[in-house]
Amino acid sequence: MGRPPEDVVLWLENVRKDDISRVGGKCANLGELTAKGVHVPPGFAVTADAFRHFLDETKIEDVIHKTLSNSNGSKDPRQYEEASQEIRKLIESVQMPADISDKVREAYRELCKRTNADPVLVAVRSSATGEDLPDASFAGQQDTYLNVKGEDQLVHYVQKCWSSLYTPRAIFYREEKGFPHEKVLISVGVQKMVNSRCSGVAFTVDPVNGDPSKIVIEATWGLGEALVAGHVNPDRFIIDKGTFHIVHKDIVAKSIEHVPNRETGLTMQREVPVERRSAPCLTDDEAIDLAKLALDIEDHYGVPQDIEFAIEEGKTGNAVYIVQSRPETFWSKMKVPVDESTHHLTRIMVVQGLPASPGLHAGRAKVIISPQDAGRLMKDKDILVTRMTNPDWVPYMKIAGAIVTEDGGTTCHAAIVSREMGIPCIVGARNATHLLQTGSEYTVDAKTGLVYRGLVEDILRPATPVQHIPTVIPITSTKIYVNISLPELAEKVARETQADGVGLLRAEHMMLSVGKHPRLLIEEGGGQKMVDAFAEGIRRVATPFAPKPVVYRCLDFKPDEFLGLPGGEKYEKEAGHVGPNPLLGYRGCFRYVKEPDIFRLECRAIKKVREEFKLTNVNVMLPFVRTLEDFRNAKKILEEEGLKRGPDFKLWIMVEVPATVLLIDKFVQEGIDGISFGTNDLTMLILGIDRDDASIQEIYDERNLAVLRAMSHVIRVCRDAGVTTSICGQAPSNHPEVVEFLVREGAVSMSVNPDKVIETKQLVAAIEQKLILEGMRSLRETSKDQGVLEPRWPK
Amino acid sequence: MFENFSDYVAENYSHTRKIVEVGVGHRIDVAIQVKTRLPDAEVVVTDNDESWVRAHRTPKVKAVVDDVSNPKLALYEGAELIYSLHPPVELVPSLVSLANLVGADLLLVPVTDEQEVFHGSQWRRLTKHGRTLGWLLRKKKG
Repeated sequence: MGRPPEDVVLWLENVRKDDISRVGGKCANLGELTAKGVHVPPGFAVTADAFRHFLDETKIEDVIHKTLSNSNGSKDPRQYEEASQEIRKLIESVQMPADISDKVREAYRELCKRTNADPVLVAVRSSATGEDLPDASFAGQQDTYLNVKGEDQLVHYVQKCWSSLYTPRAIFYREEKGFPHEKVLISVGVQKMVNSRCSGVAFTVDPVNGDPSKIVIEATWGLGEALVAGHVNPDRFIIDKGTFHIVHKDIVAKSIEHVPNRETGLTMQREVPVERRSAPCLTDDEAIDLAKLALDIEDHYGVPQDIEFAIEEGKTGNAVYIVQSRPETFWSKMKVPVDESTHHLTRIMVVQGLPASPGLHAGRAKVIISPQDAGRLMKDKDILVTRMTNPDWVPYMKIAGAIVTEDGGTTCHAAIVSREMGIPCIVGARNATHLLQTGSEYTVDAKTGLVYRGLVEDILRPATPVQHIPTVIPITSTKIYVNISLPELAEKVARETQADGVGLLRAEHMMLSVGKHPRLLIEEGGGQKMVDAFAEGIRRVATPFAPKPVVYRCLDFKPDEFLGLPGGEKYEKEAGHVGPNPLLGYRGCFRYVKEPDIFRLECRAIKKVREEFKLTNVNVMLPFVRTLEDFRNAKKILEEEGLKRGPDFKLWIMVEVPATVLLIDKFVQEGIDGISFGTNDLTMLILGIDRDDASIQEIYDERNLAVLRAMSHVIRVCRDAGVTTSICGQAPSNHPEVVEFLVREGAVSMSVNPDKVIETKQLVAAIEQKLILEGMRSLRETSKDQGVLEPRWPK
Repeated sequence: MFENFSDYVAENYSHTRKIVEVGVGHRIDVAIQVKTRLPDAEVVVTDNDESWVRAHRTPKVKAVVDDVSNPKLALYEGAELIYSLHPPVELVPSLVSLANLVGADLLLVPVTDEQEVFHGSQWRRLTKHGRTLGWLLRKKKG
């Protein structure tokens, strides 16, 4: 029998961070923190030497390595599974040598004494010595057992932790890395269980954006398992490292918690009692104290940390325990520079509201609630941030570089006065007094209603022509509109393309941004949320293009595309809307008539934009119109919602279905102001080609004569009736000859994707010049009738 | 809804070390499916909407804020596949540029209305049972 190692167990207070080879990374860290005086649950480590001794004494190492060598190099996961099962069974079945188990038992009894609990409940955690490898994904592959009670159980679970060195993933990982199995040993940490009232993680660098100036604390009721496993949405506190002010707080409903099961000694999941669900699990003071402690730990290690904590409610008050601290690996690897100058190239939007007085300004914010404080705090060119102004504020408004108010619309006091003074102003910026901080620098873009963090250089820099824009963008008789899917980019697109308007504003991405099926929203009483989100999206497009027209196309998701949204399965699949070919199914105008309550929400959003935001350049287009009756019914709903055709409100339809082509004269009589060809669907339906079916795509072609004849017919009927004609399908972008065809036929406009606007303008200008020349030549010739139906294909 | 998509990724990128989903939006489930199928790959999701990203904090998948039209390249370094589900057409040029810079394959699943944008020689239509699964742009060689 070999000699037992000198240290079978090491108490955490005697362990330091350099002891990784003896106690693994996890225990080494906990020891370091204990020595620093941080409140860590008391305990000890069963050392890697003990495991080594166990392997030597039981003589199972050769069997382990032989089993491993059988699976070595295999790509079949089942072989790893089998090897793992075999090895783990072996390790757990042999008796732990008495010279180790006696020491473990002895240490456990000592822990009972130290904690005044007999038997004390302990957490038993693996701490592999390979966890200090540069690749962090090595960590966390071994087991942890909670609520272990008594010496016998402890010995049993220590052995189980040892065997977890050979999980299939761990074996596979070491082999992938070429790391010899025999070089990796395992230690086991044994610590008093914390009876957590709540627990969580403190990140000393913001985990979602790498901001090193913030500490983010996520916490939930009970043990930390629910949080670590991602089973609950936690409460979240974002705390500024410099001031320890809570800059953001999200308290959410926490429906489940993990708690110790006193009978089994294991943990169990249970529902959180209703009265606690929506209550914060940390007080503000606790969050701030935790942030201070987290910063202290980060300072100690010199690198950002992810710190797990637990708060125990005791007879003498609450105790905060740190149960683990690990270096943050993701953002540290990115080496995100600390932005000292606060000059940003990227735009980080902080708040948004209504643009009330146009202009740009960058400076320091002063969040002030009363005019009395303004006299003390406001300096020349500061950004005044307040709830709302009244005449008492005027002296301070005069010296402001920009004004941001939480309340008000475009005719409120702040809006009127700032316009008179020529000061950039944004009103109705919700939560601005909370989200903007006194003393911090921001860029106020009152053209778009957005406030950005820091001094954003590309906004402040005088506008220069974008490189690829030619100095002169030709003016064309045929209007070139742009298709927009993403409202956030509309301002940039308007500036860079100089499009004549928006010929297709898609609603589908707005719906995705809302993030729920509209029927579910309505059932949850959240219809107004959809109205507000759509209105905001439309506003963001209509503002930079005003007074140029914007044609909003009502929502035209195919039923299968709704499936991805929460509620989609229920309201599309279970409702029987997802047929064998969604492109031909429950979509378009038909849907508005079948589910008018959803359509009315869109109507209200448009009305809000036109009436509240005074953006009367917004018009409506109905997609996938199949029958006159559907059109008539949808139009009626629009009118009931206050959207009636008139000099400044135009109603368009998309021409995508052959029936609409054949009956275009009837639609004109019914009352439309414009049509736009959806060539994608029109080609599909005229040629009988399912455009989602890969096997027949080789004959899909928007230039097919049948498609051209259809468009020619519609353009001629509409032109005679004074109805405007356009196209928003992909054909002009993919085929320049379609552009020439449309110009020759007399289409009033065409709408293309942003990257094609300038190109299309140049092409159209050249075609129009060619037509003028041809016209002049033809004056000298006898004009011939070119026929009624034959389209004029480019010569 | 995207089961076929995650199957494709798992089958064709089984030895990939890093995969990034751009514009995760309201749904994290596809990234989690991918991570579940490829546990040893680092799976990162991004969005420029901080509230979505915070809502998607999960131990399995790293969720970070980033704007693909002005990306922090370091986030994508080492990625062998970048994918996006229902990306707005305006973002496609930025996605292509990002994938080229990083040297990753780009796999996009547009909404059907925007599918014809990909009718170009450089894109390969991926299909499953004859239906369109997505559009793939292979990384440039060399």
